[in-house]
Amino acid sequence: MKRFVTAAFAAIAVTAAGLTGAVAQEWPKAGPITIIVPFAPGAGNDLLGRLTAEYFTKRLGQQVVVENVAGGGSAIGLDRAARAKPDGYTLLWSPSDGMSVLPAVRKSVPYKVPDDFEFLARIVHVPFVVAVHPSVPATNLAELIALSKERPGRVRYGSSGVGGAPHMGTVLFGMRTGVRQTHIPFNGIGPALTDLIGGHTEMLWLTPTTGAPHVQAGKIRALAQTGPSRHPLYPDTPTLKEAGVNVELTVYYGMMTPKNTPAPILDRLRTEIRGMLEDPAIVKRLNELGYTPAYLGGEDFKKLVVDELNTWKQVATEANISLAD
Amino acid sequence: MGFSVALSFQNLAYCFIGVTLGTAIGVLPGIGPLATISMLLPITFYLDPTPAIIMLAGVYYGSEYGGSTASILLNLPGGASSAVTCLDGYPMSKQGRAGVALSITAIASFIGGSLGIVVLIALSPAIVAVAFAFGAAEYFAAMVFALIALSLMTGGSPLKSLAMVGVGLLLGLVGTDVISGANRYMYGIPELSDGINVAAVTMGLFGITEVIASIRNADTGGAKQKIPLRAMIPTRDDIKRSVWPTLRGFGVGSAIGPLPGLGATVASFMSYALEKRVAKDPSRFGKGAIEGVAGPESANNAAAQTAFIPVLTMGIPATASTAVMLSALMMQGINPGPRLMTEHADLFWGVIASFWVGNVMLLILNLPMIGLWVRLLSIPYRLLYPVILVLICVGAYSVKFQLLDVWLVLGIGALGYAMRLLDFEPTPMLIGFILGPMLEENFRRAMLSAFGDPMEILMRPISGTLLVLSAIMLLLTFWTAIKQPAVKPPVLREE
Repeated sequence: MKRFVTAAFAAIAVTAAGLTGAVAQEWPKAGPITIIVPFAPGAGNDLLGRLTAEYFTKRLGQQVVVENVAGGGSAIGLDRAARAKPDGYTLLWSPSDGMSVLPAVRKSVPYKVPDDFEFLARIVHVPFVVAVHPSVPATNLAELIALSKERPGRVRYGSSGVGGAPHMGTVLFGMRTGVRQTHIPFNGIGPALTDLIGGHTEMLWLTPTTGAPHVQAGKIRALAQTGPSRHPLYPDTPTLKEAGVNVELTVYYGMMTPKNTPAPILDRLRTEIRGMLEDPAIVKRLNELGYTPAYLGGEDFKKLVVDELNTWKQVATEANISLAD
Repeated sequence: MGFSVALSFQNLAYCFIGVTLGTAIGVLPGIGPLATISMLLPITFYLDPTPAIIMLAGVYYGSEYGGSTASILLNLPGGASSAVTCLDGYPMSKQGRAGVALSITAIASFIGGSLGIVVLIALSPAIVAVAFAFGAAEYFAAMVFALIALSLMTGGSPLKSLAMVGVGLLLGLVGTDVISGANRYMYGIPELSDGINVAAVTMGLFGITEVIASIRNADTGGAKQKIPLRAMIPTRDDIKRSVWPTLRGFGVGSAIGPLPGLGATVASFMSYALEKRVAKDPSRFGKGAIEGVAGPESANNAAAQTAFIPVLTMGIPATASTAVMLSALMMQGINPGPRLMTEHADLFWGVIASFWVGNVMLLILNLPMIGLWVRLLSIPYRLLYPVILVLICVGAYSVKFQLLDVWLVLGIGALGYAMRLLDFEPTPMLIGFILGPMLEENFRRAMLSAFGDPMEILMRPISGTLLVLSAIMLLLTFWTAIKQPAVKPPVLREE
């Protein structure tokens, strides 16, 4: 903590000095680097930020610290990063929630996607698993769709929150398959999962690692997964596309910097991220955590972010989902 | 087999660090287990999973022991779950019976905690089934029950209590509505989107208010008391009076502990309410009744232990602190869930065995060595309170690292002081603030789940029973109120 405070003061002092042209050459010698993680310490994805910080500290010869800026469904952290000095000392670790989903469903967010950011790279992604309670009379996706059509609005699905990726994904699924289901929002995936296991809701989209122990224990049944290919934890569960539904959805996790961060710094950081994803120890760790390493650099990453944003905007308009301020 | 893990030198050491730190932060008002565990989290990356969880858990249940010390000696709860201990612990202290209150607290805590562990081991599967049977309707009914039970418990004017519940409910509305996603009463401040920080409200209402109030008090109160060991020996009567409250407190605590969102604080309040209900002479409560110390302290420790049931068996946290511990496990690459017990048996049983070891350590720390902790509080108020103020501010800040929470804690503290001057009870406000949003959220979720049919909530066995019980409780209160329009004696303040 003490070191963090000292580091924070050092960072302020450095930015106040207003280094400009010399920044790129000097970087990263002038002081500690902060990775903003838009979640509370300990929340699932916080760990990914910390793994990266640990690796960067070793590779850059500079202390890299994680700063948790939680709240507003990650909007507060993203806003902080967008307004930070583009000197390479403030980096952002972000999942698709804040980048591609939130700006589509909220009437206004304080930052602009993609204009406020430079896109370093996508690092990992993770699909959702479409799970149902064992009492639901559907053993495959087709049966679930048939059931939902037979009893419109009577199939209830939980979600981690209104306008979150699992909610939006389920809405998209409903639009593409022409079914109507009832949304029961929860505050986080934990309580939503308890409700599914208890049989109080019929369906839930959840991350592979969260669901795996319960699927294996027979408490919930996995009918499909949403990624482009099968997740190692679910080798026998078909993807939505394999099951004949044209939906492909993964949550991406990647890094950004404030707009106008000097190109040499961006290049160096991209090299490090690529190196990190070739480090066998880190890859093993990521796999254990259920994340699939998926490097996607610069412009390609930006395009993915914007494409997804447009998809969600369309879904939000069609399904009339708009969260007022 | 768990003990061979728990008794290894390394694990004993981390257990000791955990419970000692837990007692210390429990004793010191303002800084709670959640803030401490969050701050320790980065350190656990460098530990094996078992000692990491042993240490974090030690902080958690250790703070339940320490929390009551400041309640008893300063009338200032070390943590939310010890708030209720003030009601009778502090009067005991003013009667010169602080030593007895402290020793009964330690013993009741030990019994509640130890029996809680037995429950944790023996009843895990059964309690998991109950927790799963709880859907939104059941949670809603449980909240109604708790809200009524809790607001009936507080003394003073019922009208003022109701008004304070209302203020609490309003404060609880602030933030993003879980069901619709709409922002309510945020006035464009994004930091409020997750609602007003519970820590800020608790520390403001109880901590800051106490500090301001004490400025007017010239005397240095109970803090300077020396507690010789002899003063700690309870009389035969004390013991006799404490046995059943301790056991009942354990019962309440272990019933409440595993239910997500309720936790040690609600357990301690409920136990107090229960003791007051069953007492032959309820008027003794608030004036140093030992039952009002033993029951809640047993309850919050039992709840702290049984809160691990859903964490260890389902991977679902029951409290914020256990949620952080859960993430510590996940950071180690261990996925908590039903498989934890079989696949990581040494961790599972090692951690549980360490709870017992930790409780024994805590008994030693809090009985023969209580003087050490009292000395922590024996610093003169003029030195202690500025430190407490700083700790409160740091504590509020460290929950989410936002400055807004510091302003909130100060503002709510000022409000709390105004309330105190006007004789409004802070507890109903806190209850409304905490339970109100849960009540609303679960009611709306239950209605969604029932496709808009409110009868559905009444027809379900658990929720129906709880709602009927709530109605009976309410009617009984009105009945007694009408039958005995008792002239309330004016509430005397210590000033």
